[in-house]
Amino acid sequence: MRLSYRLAVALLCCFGMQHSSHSGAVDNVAAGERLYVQCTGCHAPGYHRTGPKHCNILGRRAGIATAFSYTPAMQQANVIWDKASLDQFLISPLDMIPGNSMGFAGITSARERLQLIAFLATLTSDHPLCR
Amino acid sequence: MNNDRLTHKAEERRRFMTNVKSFALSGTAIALMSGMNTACAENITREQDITQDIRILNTAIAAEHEAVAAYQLGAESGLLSAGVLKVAVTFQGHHKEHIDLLASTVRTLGGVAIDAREQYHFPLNQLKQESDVLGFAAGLERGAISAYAGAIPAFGNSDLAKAAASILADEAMHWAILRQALGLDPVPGAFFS
Repeated sequence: MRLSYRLAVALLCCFGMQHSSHSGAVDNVAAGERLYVQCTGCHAPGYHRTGPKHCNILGRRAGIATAFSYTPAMQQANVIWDKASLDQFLISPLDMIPGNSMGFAGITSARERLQLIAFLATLTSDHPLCR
Repeated sequence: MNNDRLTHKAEERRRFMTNVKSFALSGTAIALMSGMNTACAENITREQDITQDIRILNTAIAAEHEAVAAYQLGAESGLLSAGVLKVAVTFQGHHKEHIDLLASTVRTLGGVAIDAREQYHFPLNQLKQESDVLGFAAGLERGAISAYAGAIPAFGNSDLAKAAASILADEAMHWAILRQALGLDPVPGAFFS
């Protein structure tokens, strides 16, 4: 009896944690989508503007999106965009890749960077904004 | 003995003066060298700052060209009423003035201002009525405000930051008026993010 009670509590906790973790991830994506508005002066998910498009950015090498004219600095950056490199870049784009043309001072809040990257990670080919 | 002492004192004085001279010379040389190094370093840093400022200005010019093209699209869409068309053309004129200022600044800094692109990607299929065009323009203005807000701290030259802030204020007024025209709260908050 005591054992099954403990088991039940453990299962509930586990489910609760999973639910909470999933809900946190969803919250981060939603918050990141709101933050993405800051990027829309120059970027769009699905097409190039002043800056390159963001669809499928995760896993992409920096400076290689087709039909976009990158600075030599970005072309030679030798960076693969993953969550860690994006986080580093968003702290201060001009410090991480000097000579790139992203005239943006950076995002100081680690939480906001995490949220923005969480949204960027959803911009895969099956995302409505990328179709 | 006296002569010896005098000779010794004279020798000491000579040695001291020689040391002082060599020290003074070394000090001047160090000062000169370090001065030159500092000047060189300052020039390099200044040059890097200017190059970076030119890149940021050109990014802003690119966004302004896009805004001019977008307003042109709106003006030629046939979807705008006379009053709204007049406002749209006025706003487009402001963006042209921003380009003129930014481009002349780039040239003053020794750079080359970028030209407008031949083509822009706009969501033509989503523009079916006046409110769509207004919403589209509001989105561009909103984005431009963010772009300037993000660029201002990156400028190495505070005069450029001041000029960019002036443009940002103009874009913010455009955004507020467009939101008002759309029936939205023109100033949705005390802070912009």
